[in-house]
Amino acid sequence: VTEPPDPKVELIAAIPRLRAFAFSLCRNADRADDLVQQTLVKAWANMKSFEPGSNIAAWLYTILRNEFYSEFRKLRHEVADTDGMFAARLASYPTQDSHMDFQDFRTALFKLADDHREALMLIGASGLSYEEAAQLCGCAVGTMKSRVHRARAKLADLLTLGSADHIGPDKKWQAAVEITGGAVRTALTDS
Amino acid sequence: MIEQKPNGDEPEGISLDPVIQAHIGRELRALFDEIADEPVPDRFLALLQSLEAKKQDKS
Repeated sequence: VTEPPDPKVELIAAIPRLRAFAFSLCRNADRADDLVQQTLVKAWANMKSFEPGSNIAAWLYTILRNEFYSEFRKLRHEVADTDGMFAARLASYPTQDSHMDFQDFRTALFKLADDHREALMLIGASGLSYEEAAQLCGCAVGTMKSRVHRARAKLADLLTLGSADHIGPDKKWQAAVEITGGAVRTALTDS
Repeated sequence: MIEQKPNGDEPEGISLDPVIQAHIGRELRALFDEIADEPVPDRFLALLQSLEAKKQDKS
């Protein structure tokens, strides 16, 4: 006798992955957990629209993502958005490539445009397929592939910054991103 | 994952050093797993319990 799946159990099982995805979107652990909380409330209220047997993580990511882009992100600039806020996560960062002079990975990751970082996390870390990730983000599969590709190329650039040339044009690019993040993000997306 | 391609064969003329490529993949998974391996915080268990209790009150 198979019992119908308990929604609470399914949601609890998905929470660890939701927290990881949320952190990759908003880079701050406390705010990520607030986003997860909102997502769980929404998911619970809409549990009937979830098709049993389909990928619950993808369904929850969709809700979380909508929450992030519709409301949550507006709050972002009200909070001091400093590197110190995710210092706790950065502190445990161990480099496994000590023979290479890589820049800090997580600092570089959060310099990417939101949609590029999201694409990388979905494909490279959460284990979704390109098709699932594209559906989740409401874009074409080719667009998702292109985002992942560009995100990796940019990340590779940032990671090798300074290994050959300490004050290259990319340093200025970095500064530009920090000052006018929104504009550069748009430029990157459209390029 | 994007397949490794020989130099010069990637779109937009960009080819990634395989060492960096591997580094990126490993670090992405490390970040994801580091958070995903943490125990579920109590606040979420309490939240779901209260949502469930509300639902039972209604029915």
